[in-house]
Amino acid sequence: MPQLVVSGLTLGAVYALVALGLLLIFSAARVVNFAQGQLLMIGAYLAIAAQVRHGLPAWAAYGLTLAAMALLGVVFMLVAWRPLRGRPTHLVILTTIAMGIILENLALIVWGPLPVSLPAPLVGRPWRVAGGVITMQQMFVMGTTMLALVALSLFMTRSRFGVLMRATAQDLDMARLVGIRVDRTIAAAFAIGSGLAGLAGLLVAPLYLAEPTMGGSLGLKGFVVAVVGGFGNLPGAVVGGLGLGLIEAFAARYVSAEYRDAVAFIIMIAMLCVRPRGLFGETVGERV
Amino acid sequence: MLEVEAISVAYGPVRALTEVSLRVAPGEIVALLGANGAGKTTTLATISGLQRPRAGVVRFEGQPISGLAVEAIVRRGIAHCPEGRRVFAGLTVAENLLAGGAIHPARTDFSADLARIYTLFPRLAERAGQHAWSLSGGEQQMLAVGRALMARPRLLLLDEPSLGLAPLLVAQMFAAIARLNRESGLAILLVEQNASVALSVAHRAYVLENGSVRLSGAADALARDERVRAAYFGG
Repeated sequence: MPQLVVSGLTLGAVYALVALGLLLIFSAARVVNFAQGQLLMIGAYLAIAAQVRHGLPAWAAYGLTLAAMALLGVVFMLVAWRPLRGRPTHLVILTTIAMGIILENLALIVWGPLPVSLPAPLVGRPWRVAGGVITMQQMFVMGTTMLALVALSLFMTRSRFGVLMRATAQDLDMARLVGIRVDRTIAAAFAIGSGLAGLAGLLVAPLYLAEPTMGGSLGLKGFVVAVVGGFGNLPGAVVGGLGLGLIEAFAARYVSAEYRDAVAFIIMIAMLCVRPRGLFGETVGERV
Repeated sequence: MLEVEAISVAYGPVRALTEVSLRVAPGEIVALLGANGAGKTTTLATISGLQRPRAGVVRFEGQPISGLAVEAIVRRGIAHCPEGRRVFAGLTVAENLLAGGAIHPARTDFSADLARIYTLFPRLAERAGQHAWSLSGGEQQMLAVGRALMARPRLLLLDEPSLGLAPLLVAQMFAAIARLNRESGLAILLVEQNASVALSVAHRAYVLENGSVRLSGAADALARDERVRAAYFGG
């Protein structure tokens, strides 16, 4: 039972990171990026390529992965968003789905279909707490997620660039009228959002194996979490992520392991029926 | 300082402006009057770069600016406070003002700008930490003007600052507009449907009709003009 809590929270933290990236991109570009899970997968593979293939130390491999993912985010924005600026949102959303398919197949071509693993960066004895065991990697995943939440929240509310990003999201033309270079703020949002997906990828790869199709379900779970948390609310996304991880772990143990993935969508549908603004959705306007 | 020369604008096949010319001199308040759909808002949008003229040219301080991007035109010194206020609803009052200063370097000291805006509109100082959506219509209009001032413009384009405001607030808003012009010599191009209040603060005015300039002249002369009175003063 305590073990279920630990594994649920760990996976939940990964969902939360996917959702945070999704929200950041949404916060500036007003687009739900359905390729977020595939970006996560690319992040996992890049970390594996750097660390396992090229033998870089973990810190260097992680740094390179995050930098490459930020760059990929900008490319993603230039390819999938910029040409469609001002067009109906559903076109952009479809484009992000297409980008996800492309990324997944590229990974299949480059890295092949077989699962590969990434060694955990921190080695040490697992902790025993209240009858459960927490590995170093699990601690690392949860700690990093919390750190990412705090850093992002501060960035969006306290930094001038964060304020300009939120202004861009709320009214693109008005943002241009006050002189915000909106292409830059939106590119930055895609860079950070993609970097967060990469972070989730390199955190999850040592826990599970990396494979080209790993992104699909993680990306959708991130979306579910964002919706349940009240789309736009960063702490809500983290609470939603951890909650979903827990519920899934318990449902898999006590209800049915086969229906594990269905749980997320049942929760989302129920939430949309009962409280469409999500757990922490605000009544008006603000979407950080 | 601003010269609009024979601009024509069309939305698809629909002509919005036909060879509109107007100028604003430094230190001047110029009113742009006209009925709904006369082309007032389109004129402002063309000056600030949201619309491209099909023909004609807009010059600011001697340089042609029509064709520049919106973000570039505000950097030249023209701030556009558009119709409907368009405050950033989810940002606080202080954050809206910060966003208004987006064209200045990140380390710019805005304390003098903020002091000036808060003196002009004390209500904004009281509500600095509140989200813009929670403000009343009048406060949002003050915020929209204050945000435009943060760019430190030399020319302010104001679109319908009286829209939807109670008479007392309209009077306060126009007092603030006159004060801005008087104290800092800010040139203002003012679009208004409320002709009498606009002419009371403006030095000169243009009257647009169906996308063309129909009349122009000194504000007090236009205020006495029979045609203006008949069309815009309800009698």
